[in-house]
Amino acid sequence: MKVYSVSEVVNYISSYLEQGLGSIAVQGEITGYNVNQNRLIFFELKDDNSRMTCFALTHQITDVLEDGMEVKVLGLPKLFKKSGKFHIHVQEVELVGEGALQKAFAKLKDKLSKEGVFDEQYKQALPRFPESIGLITSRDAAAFNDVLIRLNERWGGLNIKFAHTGVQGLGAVSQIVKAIEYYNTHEPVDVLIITRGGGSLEDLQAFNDERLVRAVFASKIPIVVGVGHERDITLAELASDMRASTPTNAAELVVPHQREIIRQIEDIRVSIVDSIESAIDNKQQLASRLVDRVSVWLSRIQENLAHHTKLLHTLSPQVTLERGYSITLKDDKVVKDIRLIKVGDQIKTKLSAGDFSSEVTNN
Amino acid sequence: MTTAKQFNFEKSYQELEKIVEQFESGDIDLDQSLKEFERGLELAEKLKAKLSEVENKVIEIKQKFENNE
Repeated sequence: MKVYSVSEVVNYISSYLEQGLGSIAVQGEITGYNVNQNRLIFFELKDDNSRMTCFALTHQITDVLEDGMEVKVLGLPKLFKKSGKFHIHVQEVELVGEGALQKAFAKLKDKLSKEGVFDEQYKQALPRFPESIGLITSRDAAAFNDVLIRLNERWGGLNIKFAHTGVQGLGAVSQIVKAIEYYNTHEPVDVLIITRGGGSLEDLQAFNDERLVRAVFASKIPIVVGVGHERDITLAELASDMRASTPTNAAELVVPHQREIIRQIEDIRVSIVDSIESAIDNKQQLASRLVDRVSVWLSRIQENLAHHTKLLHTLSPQVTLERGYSITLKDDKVVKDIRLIKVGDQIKTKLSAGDFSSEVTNN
Repeated sequence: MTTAKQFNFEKSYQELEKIVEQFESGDIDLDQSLKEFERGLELAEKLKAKLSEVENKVIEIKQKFENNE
């Protein structure tokens, strides 16, 4: 029979396992958890009778794992090249059991909080009137219909782009993360909704997963996260740009009710019509006040003119003569002073009608 | 996303708000304002017309988001 080298057998069996079985899901208790060189994570999964090695790289799973935690691991069965040792190369980890989940939740919340992932200053404002909306949820979830129905009630003309993902269980996290990245790079929308109905801490753990929370935080598109729930708010909601209390509430947060907007538009219309009308009114009042003042001014001028004309008339020489006065002239010069006249002077007297000459006899 | 030709609700609404702000701030020069006034009425009509569009379009993204490490 053919004799193989050690390397050949190790390679062969490793490929055989990986290709033959593909990813498998295993549940067990973590023991011997340790991290080498800050990147390489080793632990064993055990049950009452057996144990097996698991290997992961830090970028794949979170660091909330501890000895004693019951977990479900999704991974590829392989052999290490060097040692020929059988192990599961971990792709996803899901926590099982309330205790483990509570611990992991508290630890992660604390860590992310200190980093500022939940800080108000990083939250983006939602567009007031979005034209396109991205929706990430499971098409089998009630949440899907809840959101669509409420959107239809409130607003029209929307472009809703829906991405179907799991919302719990192994694989849900990476599906949602990939969907978020996809909208950000290939299918831009004005706002994203990620939503699901309520559930136990175990059901909701995808929304407390570090990768999902960071993806929500990093999104350039504003995200509304709505998880119907009876208890603690999920970390994804805390990291979101706005938190919705339910799927229906998510729809209410992203679009206004058209009834409300129609009313606002109508108020605005009435306001500008009123403003123009009162401006026209003002102008008219101004104009008529102007006309009044000009009339007054004109009649004053007329009065003045009449007065002066009358005066002028009264003072005119001819009218004075008509009143009985006469003009005395000596050598054709008007005489006003008696000292200019001596006895014997020839003087002329002008009357209203006619004139005569005379000689001064005595004064 | 919207094209330049498409009516942009957000921009039009903002324009309308600016107009009413000017009018409410008091001093209105009638000659300058008549044009604004007409524009305001026009915008109000267009916005209300857009709101009477009832249908929302829902499309599913074809891309699959399955695991593959």
